[in-house]
Amino acid sequence: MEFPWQYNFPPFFTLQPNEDTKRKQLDAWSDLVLAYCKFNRIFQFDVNEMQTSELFSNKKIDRKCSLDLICVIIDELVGRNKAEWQMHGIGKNSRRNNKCFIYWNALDEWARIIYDYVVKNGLQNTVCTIYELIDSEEVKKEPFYRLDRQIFLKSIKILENSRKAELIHLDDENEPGIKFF
Amino acid sequence: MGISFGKKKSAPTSRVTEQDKAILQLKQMRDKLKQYRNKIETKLVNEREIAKELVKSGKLDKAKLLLKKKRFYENNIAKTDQSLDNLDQMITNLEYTQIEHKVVECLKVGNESLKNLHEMLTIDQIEDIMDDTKEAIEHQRQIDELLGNQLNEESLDEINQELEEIIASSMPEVPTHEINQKVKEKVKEKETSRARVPVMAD
Repeated sequence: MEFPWQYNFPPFFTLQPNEDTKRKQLDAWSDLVLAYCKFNRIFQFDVNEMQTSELFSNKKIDRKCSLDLICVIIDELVGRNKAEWQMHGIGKNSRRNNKCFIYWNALDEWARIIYDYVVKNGLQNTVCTIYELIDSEEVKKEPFYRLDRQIFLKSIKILENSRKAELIHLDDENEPGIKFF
Repeated sequence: MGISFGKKKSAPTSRVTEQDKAILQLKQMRDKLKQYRNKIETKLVNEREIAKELVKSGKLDKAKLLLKKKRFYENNIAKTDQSLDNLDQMITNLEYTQIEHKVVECLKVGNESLKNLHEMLTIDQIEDIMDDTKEAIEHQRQIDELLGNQLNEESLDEINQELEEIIASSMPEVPTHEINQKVKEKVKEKETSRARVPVMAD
């Protein structure tokens, strides 16, 4: 994968005080994070772990994003529906932890891609397993092959809300199945 | 889930049937068999590599043992394939029967409404209607006949009278006296002079 020119430009790794410059900087970072994750098929990461990856640290120019900057970038992506912070706990006590989902396809885009496949293959009114939809040989050429399970289920939830799918929970031992409509 | 906007509580009735659950169970089993198959296949590949290395380093006994194990695995794979085949057939049958069931149900509904429609019209009713219609047609025919006849007798007289009137008014008056000789000759002269037209010689 090719990095943009900014990647070799030291100020890129420090949040810029000037609003205009900052806007451009965050635009460039958003594009870079999405492109990097798409290329490497990364669906979620821990901010601390990711800090040392080549995405956020350029050894050639000896620059590294601070954790604060990474969080600002993720917040920017969250605002664009392209990322989501993972939560600790439930309800009021839930807190943001250091992990986030990256949606290089937004969730509704994933939902659309999956449903397009369903329609193309006449799977309406058919019960499918998660394994057969994202892990099997049949979907090896589909964009959602080996899609993160949590992201997959979130996309299915979207389809469920529009009555295009329904999750089937048989027991705790097995993954749920999906019936499409 | 943070993203979903409201309307979550209104749980619509599930469209999942008991058969769907049975199919799901079968498919889950199929997936497990597939995973098992993958596991054994990678094991086979790995152990083949190990066996090769054992042969290279002269440990033939160990290599032989490994190959024996390999046979066993291969046997397992064949059995797994058989089970997979059975499962797939079962799944296909269930799915097809489900569709067949729906088709029969649709036919039932169609038949029912056809019956209802037929019940609305009994044969007696239709006979009554047809009789009524026949009577009405007959009635109309009689009216037509009566009207037609009347018109004919009356109008025939009128037509004849009108015709005579027209003939009478369009004829020239017949002369009542003899035509005198002089007028006759003049007419003759006029006719011959008109016929003698001079022609230029070439």
